This record gives sequence, structure tokens and C-alpha cells, in this order.
Amino acid sequence: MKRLKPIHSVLLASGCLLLLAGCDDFPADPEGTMKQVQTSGVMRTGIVSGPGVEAEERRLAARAADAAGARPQFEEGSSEVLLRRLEKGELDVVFGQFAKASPMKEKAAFTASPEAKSPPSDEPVMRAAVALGENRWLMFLSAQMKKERADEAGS
Amino acid sequence: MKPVPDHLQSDLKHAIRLEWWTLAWQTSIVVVMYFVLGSSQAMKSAWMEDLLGLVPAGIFLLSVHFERQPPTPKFPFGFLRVNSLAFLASASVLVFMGAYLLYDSVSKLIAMEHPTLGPITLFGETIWIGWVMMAALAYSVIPPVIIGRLKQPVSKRLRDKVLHTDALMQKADWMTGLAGILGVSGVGFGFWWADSVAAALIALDIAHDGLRAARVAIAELSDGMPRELGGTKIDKDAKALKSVLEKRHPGSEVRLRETGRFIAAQVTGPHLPDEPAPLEDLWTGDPAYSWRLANVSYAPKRD
Repeated sequence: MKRLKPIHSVLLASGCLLLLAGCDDFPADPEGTMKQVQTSGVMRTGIVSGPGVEAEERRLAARAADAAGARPQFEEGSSEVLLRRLEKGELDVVFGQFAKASPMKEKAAFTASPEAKSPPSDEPVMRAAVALGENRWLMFLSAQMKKERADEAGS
Repeated sequence: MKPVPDHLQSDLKHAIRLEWWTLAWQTSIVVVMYFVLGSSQAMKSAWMEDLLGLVPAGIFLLSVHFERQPPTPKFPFGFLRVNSLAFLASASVLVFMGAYLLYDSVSKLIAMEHPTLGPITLFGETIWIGWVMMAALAYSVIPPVIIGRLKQPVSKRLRDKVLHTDALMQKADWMTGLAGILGVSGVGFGFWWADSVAAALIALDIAHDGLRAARVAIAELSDGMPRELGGTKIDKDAKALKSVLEKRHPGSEVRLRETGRFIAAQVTGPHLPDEPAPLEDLWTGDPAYSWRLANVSYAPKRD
């Protein structure tokens, strides 16, 4: 095989990148969560049960579902149970209180918190959790959380 | 003995400068890559390769320092082989690190771990971290490829094995960058396995670099015949020298070995010359490298 010259590969790579930049579904979800929520119109949502925090989580979930053109279908439970169901693909998203340095980090990917100030990394705050590697879905929910944060700062 | 003959002093200075540049650029790459490692296995492997890329440059600078030290009663032959010794040590680090990263990547592949590459906020803008990773990988390729190309001709003139191997490794660095970019963009397309596959390829390249360095060092440390620069074959000039000596001393055993950049010859036989030939007459190879023949020693043969 003829060996690729470095300059060619750089050109090739930048050509690919330009192509990608024009592409809407980038990054994609390996398991297609985002598409599934959009096409089914249902966002299977886990809410971590706990005292007095669920209302806010339901409101956030409803707004996120709305932005994806879906309605939320709620299920309450402990984070352990919900995150496992998330990992299996039985839920699309879990809302709850998780720290940035959560011990659950190996099981799910978390968005930033919609709260304006950034908390210490071991303090649980409200976040959305998605299955590992569902990058498009994670990007979408993170953008939603950012919007919430902006709205909160604006109000 | 001087580390290099007078007419190569400027090349040696140039090489030293290039290696300091390597250390500086490579450090900048290691820092940039560190901040965007994320949870990408390919980035981890590429970062480790960039980090290990500091090692040959450091070894070259150290061995130049040692080469200049005069022999001591404890080390009467000087310190010309320090480079190969250090090179062998670093080669084993490369091989083990490559093997570890290969194991790490393959086990992630088997566990079907989906790499999570989410958003990153830079200067108030939130973008996909994959873009930043690809930019960092593209940056990580440019300095080594340029410096590697600059080093290669100097390393040939100096006959420096460490410098030459370093140059070859750096010239091949673009493949690491490309593999990393393909891995990260593959994840962008939804192919979760692209990341680990790229990481495994980079790990193989690290191990390969290690084996190449080990081969170069072992040939010298075990008193092997002088090898071609960057190869395993016996050096042409050394072959020519050997046949010249054999012709002059029929029935004698002629053995050559390499010490740093230099070649030493030993003639062992029953009929030793009263008046040894001047070294210049013995070198029939490339005259540009005649300085490499440091000495010929004649030893009587025991019956």
C-alpha cells in the first residue's frame, strides 16, 4: 500500500471535519436515545424519590421533554434502581441529586446542574443522568440545563 | 576521546538544540492534551505516547553530557555506552506501557464500554468536547513531525542511534494523531468501539517503538557487529573494514563492535604486525564516516 504523506492525511482529516461540521446529528447516540424520544414522543423519566425535591425535578423534566417534542412518563424510585434501568435502556433519563464526583459516575453520565452557582464537586445537586455514551442526548439535556440556568439568572 | 570529531561539533550543537525544542514543544502538547482527556481511551493512549515522547530527547541530552566525561579509574573506557544503557531502560518502559494500554483498551472493547464525550464550556461557549479533542490531537502532531524531519539528517551525520530512533518515532507521530482523530470522530458518528480500537492501535505503536529502541540498544550492549542506523542489518562500512583487516591478517580472527558512535576492531591471531597500519588506510567505506574507527587492537592468540 502506498503510504499516506502527513500533509495528505492532515488535508483528509480537515476535509472530514468540515463535512462533519455541517452535520446535525453530530455527535450521535450509539443507542439512539434522542431519536427514540423524538419519534416515540415519550421521554421515559426516572425521578429519584426523596423529601421535597421532586416537584422541581418534574418541572425540569417536563420542560426538557417539551423541547424534544415529547411528553414525560414518570417513574419514581431509588437512584440505584433507576440508574440500573437507565443503563439497561429501560429509561431515557433520570433526574435526581448527584454530586459532580458521584460514585455513580461509572454507571451514568451526568449533565451540569441547572443552578446558577457551581457547587463543590462532592455536593449533590440536581442533575439529569443519561446512559453512558449517549452523547447527543447528553448534549441536548446539557443545553436544556444551561437554558434553565440562564432563565434563572434572568428572572 | 571527544564525543564527536571537530567537524561535527556544529551538528552536535544543532542536535542538542533540536532536543531542547523537542522537550519544550512536547511538554506543551502533554499539557494541552491533559486538559481534554475526558473519558476517551484513544486520548489516554495518545497522551501517554506524547508523554513517553519526552524520554528519548531526555536520554539524548543526558548521554551527550555523559559522553563528555573523561574516563575514570572505575570506568576506564569512559561513558560512551550510557546512551544505549538508558535507551534499553526506556525501551522496556515503552514496551510495558504499550502492553498495559493495549490490555486496557481491549478490555474496554470486550466490556463494550461506551465512551461518554459530552459538552465542554470554553470562553462561555458550550461545544462538544470531541471537537476540542480533535483540535488537540491535530496540534499534537505538528511539532513532532517537523522536528523529527529536522533531526533525521543530523542524526545520520552524527551516527547517533538515540537521536535517529527519536526522529523516526516523531516522524511517525502523525499516525497516532490520525488514529486518535478517527477514534473520536467515530464516537461522534455513534460508533462507540472506534475509541477503543484507536486506543489499541496507538498502544501497539507505543510497544512497537519500544521494541525498535530495544533492538538498537541490545545490539550495542552485547558487543554486536555495528548495525546500520535504524536497522538490524550489519553496517556496510563495518563489513568493508572487517574484510580489509582480514586480508591484511590472514588466519586471524577479526571482530568489530560499536561503542556509542564509534567502532573498535580487534584482531586476534598468531602473526601480529610489528608496525600496525595507520587507521586511515583501513577505512574503505564512506569517507564521511572514517572518524568512526576509533582503534584497532591486536591480540596474540592463545593456543
